[in-house]
Amino acid sequence: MGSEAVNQYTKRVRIAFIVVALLLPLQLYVVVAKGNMYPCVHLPGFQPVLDDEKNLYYTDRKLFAIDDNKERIPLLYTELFDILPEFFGRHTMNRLFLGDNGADTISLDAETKRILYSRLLVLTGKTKIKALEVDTFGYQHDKNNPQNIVATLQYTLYLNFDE
Amino acid sequence: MSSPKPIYNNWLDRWIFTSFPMSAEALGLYRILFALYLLVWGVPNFEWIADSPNSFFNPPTYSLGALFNGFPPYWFLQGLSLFILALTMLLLFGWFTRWVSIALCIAIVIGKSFSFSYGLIGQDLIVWLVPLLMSFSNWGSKYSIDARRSSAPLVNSSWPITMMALLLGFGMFSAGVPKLMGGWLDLGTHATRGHFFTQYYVIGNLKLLSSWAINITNPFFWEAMDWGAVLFEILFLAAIIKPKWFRFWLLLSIGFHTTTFLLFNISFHFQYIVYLLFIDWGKITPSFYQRFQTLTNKLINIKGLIVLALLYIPLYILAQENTLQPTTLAPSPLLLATDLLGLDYKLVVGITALMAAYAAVIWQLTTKRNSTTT
Repeated sequence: MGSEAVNQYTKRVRIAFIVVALLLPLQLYVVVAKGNMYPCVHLPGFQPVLDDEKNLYYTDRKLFAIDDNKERIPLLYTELFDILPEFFGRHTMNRLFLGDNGADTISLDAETKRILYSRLLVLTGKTKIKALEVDTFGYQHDKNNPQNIVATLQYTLYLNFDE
Repeated sequence: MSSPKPIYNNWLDRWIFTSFPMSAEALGLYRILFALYLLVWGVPNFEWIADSPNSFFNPPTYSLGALFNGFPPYWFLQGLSLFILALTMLLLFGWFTRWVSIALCIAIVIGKSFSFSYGLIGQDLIVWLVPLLMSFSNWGSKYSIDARRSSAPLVNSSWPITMMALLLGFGMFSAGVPKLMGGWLDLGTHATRGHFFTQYYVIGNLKLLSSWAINITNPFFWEAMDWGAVLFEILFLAAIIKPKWFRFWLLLSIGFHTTTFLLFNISFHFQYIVYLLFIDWGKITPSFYQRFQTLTNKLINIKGLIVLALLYIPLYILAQENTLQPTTLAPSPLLLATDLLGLDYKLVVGITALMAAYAAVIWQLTTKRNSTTT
């Protein structure tokens, strides 16, 4: 390579670095401005969890606060996760993987129950909440044709505040 | 034919071209280590994607996957996976190294575009940029079939390593900024603890120190984790200015990954092969390279390539017949060995990778620089 060629090569590499450096603001725009950023306590939506043997995907959950008039007020699990992590996690997932298709009433220690109740009042704007309902869903797919859902399992947890 | 030694008159050029010098021998050694890392720890495999229902197909807006309506068929994913395996072997033996390196990066990025279409984007993309960028360093000019075929010596460049440092700095900075803006430094919240709950209760990462950490309620501990993570990631970009700072930050990074592995059971083992690029290669002695040349003279040839390919056929068949988790990388000798021994693959990979990283750190800190090599 002659010295002129070396200079040209150096110039091209320098330009490549400048172009890459200019991509940083664009990358930050995609990450931050498009909303792909971590909130204060980042609790992402559930990724599908697969049980290989049964081809069962644990994918979804729904939460409801039930008020005095039996109205079901939907909640986001992220709003309660820090208080009741196990009820949204392994417990319900394991029940589904065991093939459970039922419902259970759960009890909590007094302090956790008090914190949870206060949170529910704030989130729903109600003055009284009778119960919390946590519905967890699993979908079983046909191994040979994954597009076909052959069974839906639902496992529900109730926490009563009336007791 | 020798090239005139370039003179860099400004700071930017000196930074680009002289920050992380590597000799032709060091580049060849790194190429072999990179290919071996893939062949032992796991060549990316995308066959598992074909089992997923299209209802899970949710590609990021700016990605190759967004051009499709669903996951590709099995034959495509199997073909892609075998192509990647073949390219990795060719890279190890250094045959058509530049084109093989570029093709390897493109093939893996295509596969990753679909494996990142479930709503979760992995953090290993930086690893797959290594072959693309290093193809411009001429890392196939030593210990390779190319070196035997070519009569004209290739000119080696170290700017791709500086470019990797820049991209690594960007990646870390981009991870830190959303945390900073998202309130991780707010004393009233514990973001790390929120993540930890998810890992522990939802994903079920209960190994190593996680069961101990779940009982830690000290707010100072969790707040220090939040602050440490944000500052570490943001300042990574500043550390690229000087190679010494950057190497120190990589040392911190290994400590950061160790904590993540022990508490969250996430190993980030793939990062260490990237970090290896930035060691001081001048600490390897000429006598080592001479012995390595003798060894590779015997092994790096067409016959050796055919033998390795034949060895991988039973490994591939075994990997196909074993029940693998959907996200594991196969075919991999380590995966099969842990499967046969009944060990936890992710733990074994994490522990072995960490041990290798710490061994490299100790070697770098205790060995004097050799003045005759760069």
